[in-house]
Amino acid sequence: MYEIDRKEFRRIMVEEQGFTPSKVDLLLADYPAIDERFAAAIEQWLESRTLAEISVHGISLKEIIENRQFHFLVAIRRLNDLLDEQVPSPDLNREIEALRTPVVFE
Amino acid sequence: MNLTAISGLTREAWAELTSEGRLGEIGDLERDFAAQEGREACKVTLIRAGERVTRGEEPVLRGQFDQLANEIRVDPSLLSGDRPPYQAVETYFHEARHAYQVHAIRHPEVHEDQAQLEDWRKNDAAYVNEEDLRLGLASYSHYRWQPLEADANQVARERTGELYAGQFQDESQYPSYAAQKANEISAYQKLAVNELGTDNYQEEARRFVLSRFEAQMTREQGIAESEPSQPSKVTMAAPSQEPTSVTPQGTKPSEDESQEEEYGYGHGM
Repeated sequence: MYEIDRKEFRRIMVEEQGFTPSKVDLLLADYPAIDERFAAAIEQWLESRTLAEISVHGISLKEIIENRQFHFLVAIRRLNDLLDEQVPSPDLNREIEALRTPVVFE
Repeated sequence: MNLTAISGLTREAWAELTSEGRLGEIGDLERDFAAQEGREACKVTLIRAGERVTRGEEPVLRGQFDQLANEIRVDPSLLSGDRPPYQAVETYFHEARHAYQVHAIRHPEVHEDQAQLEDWRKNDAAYVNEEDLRLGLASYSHYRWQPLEADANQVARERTGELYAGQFQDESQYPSYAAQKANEISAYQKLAVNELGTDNYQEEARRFVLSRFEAQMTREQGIAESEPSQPSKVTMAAPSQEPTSVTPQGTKPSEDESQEEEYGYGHGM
């Protein structure tokens, strides 16, 4: 399993991206260890803030971010959740459908 | 709803207007509408280029209401090209409802349903905003169905229908728009059942913001009690009386914890 560099992510998210520090801390506090298959994508983002072309069960990282407006780290966590083989198929399908639903704000 | 400043909002008149002219028509509508509601009219402007959020050609952030500036902002794409007026006007009605909600919070005597007003007051202080969603601290359904947003969406849908299906008798393109909106609402209802795990998603979203409000009050009380001889750093001692601020995207927030208690709303930010 891959552990993210919490200190570096906090620095980027607070100082570079302008997120509220206490909210970033909440996200990072319980951020799980991630499947090794995402390690390269995370390293790429840390290096260049670009998205790797990865997908799970047909849904891509880019698609999740565009549809749901998640931060990169949140999108990675949601993709990681899709790898859980213990999730029953109907629940998995519902999660994929949710991630494909484009959101709007007013 | 008895509006007079609406002649430029029909599909035919709208088609003849420039983007600037369309924005002017919505500004006229706001002056008319605000006067009827007994509130100060908002300035109506476009969302600035650096604050736009889009998915391809479509705006993800359709509109904003900034309570501090008393300003309604609309995504410029809603006013451009061959687009019919429906979404721009519905977005206006949505943001104008937020303006009314704030007015009612500050002037409780203007709103009949005091229980709803109490929900709005607490929601105003504990608003689920776009940052919460981006960081996975709340779900989209908590945002979409929280009391302030659920009300603004419902009222905007009703008023747009009243204007185009009712007053204008627009039978050429409005029915197709209304069907598209029904599909959009249906998709968000389905998403809410999925994300919140209950058919009673609106009540669940309400409970979520009320518990955030209680947690916030407890935290503020704790701060006040731990610093008895110092003036409180928390600026929201009376959240219903204070306008909350918009947090512009890309703006670096302060590390000062007291700054983080301010939530904007009605703008998806």
